[in-house]
Amino acid sequence: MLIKKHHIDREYQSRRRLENSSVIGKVLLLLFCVCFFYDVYADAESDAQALEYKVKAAYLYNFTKFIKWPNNAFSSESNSTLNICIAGDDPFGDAINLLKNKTAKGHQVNVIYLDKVTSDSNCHVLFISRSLTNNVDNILQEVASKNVLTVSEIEGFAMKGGCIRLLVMNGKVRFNINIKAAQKAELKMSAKLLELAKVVIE
Amino acid sequence: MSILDHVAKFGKNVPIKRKLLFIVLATTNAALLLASLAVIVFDRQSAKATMQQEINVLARVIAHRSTAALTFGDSQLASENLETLSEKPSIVAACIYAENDLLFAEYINQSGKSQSCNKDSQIYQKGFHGDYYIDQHEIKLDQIDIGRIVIKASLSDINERLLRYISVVIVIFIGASILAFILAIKLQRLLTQPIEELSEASRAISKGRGYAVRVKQTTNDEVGELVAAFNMMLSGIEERDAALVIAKDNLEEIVKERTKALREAQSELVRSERMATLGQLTATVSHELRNPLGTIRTSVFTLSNRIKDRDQKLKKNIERIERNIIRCDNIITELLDYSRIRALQHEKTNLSAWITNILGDIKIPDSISIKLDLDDNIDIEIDRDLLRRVIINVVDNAYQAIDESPGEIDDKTIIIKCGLINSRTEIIVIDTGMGISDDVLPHIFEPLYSTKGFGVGLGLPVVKHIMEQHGGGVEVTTEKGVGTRVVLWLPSSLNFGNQIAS
Repeated sequence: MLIKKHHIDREYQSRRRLENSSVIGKVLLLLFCVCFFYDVYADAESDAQALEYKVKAAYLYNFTKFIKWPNNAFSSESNSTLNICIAGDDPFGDAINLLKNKTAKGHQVNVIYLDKVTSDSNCHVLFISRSLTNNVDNILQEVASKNVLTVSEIEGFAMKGGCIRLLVMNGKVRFNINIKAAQKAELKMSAKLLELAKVVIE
Repeated sequence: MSILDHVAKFGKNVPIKRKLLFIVLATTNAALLLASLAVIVFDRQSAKATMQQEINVLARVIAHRSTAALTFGDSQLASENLETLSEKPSIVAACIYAENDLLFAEYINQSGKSQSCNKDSQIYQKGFHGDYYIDQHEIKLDQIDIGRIVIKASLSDINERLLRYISVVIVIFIGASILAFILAIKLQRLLTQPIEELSEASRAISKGRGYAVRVKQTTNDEVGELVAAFNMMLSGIEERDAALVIAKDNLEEIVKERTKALREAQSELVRSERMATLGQLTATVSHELRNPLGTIRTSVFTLSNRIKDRDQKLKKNIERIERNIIRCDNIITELLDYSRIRALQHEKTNLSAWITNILGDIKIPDSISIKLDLDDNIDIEIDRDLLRRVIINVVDNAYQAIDESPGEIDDKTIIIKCGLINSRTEIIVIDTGMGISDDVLPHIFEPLYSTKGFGVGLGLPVVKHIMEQHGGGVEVTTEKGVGTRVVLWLPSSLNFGNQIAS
């Protein structure tokens, strides 16, 4: 409990510097940090970026809860994993560690770092880093025939055919969704998720 | 003392009509009250249960819808979700809490500004709190609690419903009471009318209007039986009354008879007392007179012997003296007879022989013929001495009636009969004399009443007295100028032997 409090204080301070948002928003962010990071985040950076990516990392995981993959997206092996791939430069750092040891859809979460995305890359969730902004189209092309939830911070990502684009609004991490892209990837998105999206492209 | 006893005490002086009304109203209202209470309680319980269920469903729905909002920290969306509860005005407040009870989203009903999901900074527990119902539901995502929803609903609807119910019950109560009242008043007549008629009839009777009243029996139930029994009782009383009246009349007659008998006995007593006194007097006087009369008689006898036929004129005077001496002697004898009344000394006597014997002693002029018609077979117990006096007196009277009658009588006869007639022994003496006049007849048995130039008027009274002493009597029938018939009768109880058969 003491540790938790410690975290909260630190996070709170960093959050204040990061954003100029409503108190409720801060509290909520704080809350989610507590919810998802308290047990793994031992040595948090005081960097605002770090917090943002912690939240974004959590989002990567949380999306899986509201998205349904087709059955053949997972191998029939009993120990098959749900692969979360990070392509390009890793913006998460240690923040991604909270995803390890977690399960999603009954599968162990596995974080894979990719330098280059190919059609052979076995990803369920693909985070495309800003560093690959210029290659987005190619990458999307590569995974087009696969059941991959593509996520990126790159501007206009959803418009370009990516499934989810992450963005920060009023100090909160929000997202846009391209339903068509998701449908192409044979992913079923929960209406609840769509409700939360700022923009939905059909 | 139970309530019922109190009611019974209270109803002591209340007419049966009102009692019946009270019973009907009390029963109706008690049943209605119980039914209404049961309905109200049941309705309230079921309304509460329904409300609980509804709120619970709403809580689940909102919780389910809010998982993404909670997961992605979108409190606005969560608030919008809660906002949908405004469709249900009874929900005054609803909140979504994230983990650690941090308020994530809140909805307050517009009409309940001061509402909140917590009290003294403690979130309400699930259940009823005063006028509110609190429902709590966890918000789960993949079986993991990520928060909870709290809904606070006001019970005012249910309470209003209760008030409405109560007012409806009151209206029904009043309506039912009025209906029951009217019906009871109409229907109670069935029961109370015969009873009232009964009590009216009994009141009329107690006021002394007689027992002729009857109550009309209209039913065959217990009251009808009562009426029938009442009528029967009245008939019984009437019959008994009639019998009493007859008995009363009879009693009066009996009393009259007894009184008459008593009066007679009393006058008889007075008479006999008078007789007794008179007897004593006459005995003394007669005795005292007889001695000087004897001396006079002896002296006259001596005087007439001396004179012999010397002086015819003187002789006539002496003869007149002698005649009057005899008359005086007779009177004295009569008086003595009367005074000699005493207890009977019965002797067995053959009536015809005895009468014949007496007639031999009586001097009757030859001009009067005597006819005898005597039954020889009568043996009777009589006081010969006394009854002899009776015969002599009656026969004397008979021949005097003939002898002293004015004008010539062609048939100078005395008929003497005796026999058993009408189961009594009769001695009948009939004369052909002048008869007794109507104004004399009622007095003939009174002592000292006499129509004769001589005598003291004790003859017939003595006869009557002696006959009555024997248990018999004297009956006199007479016809002016034709004659008199005297019946001396004795009761057959004096007869003895088997002669009665004849």
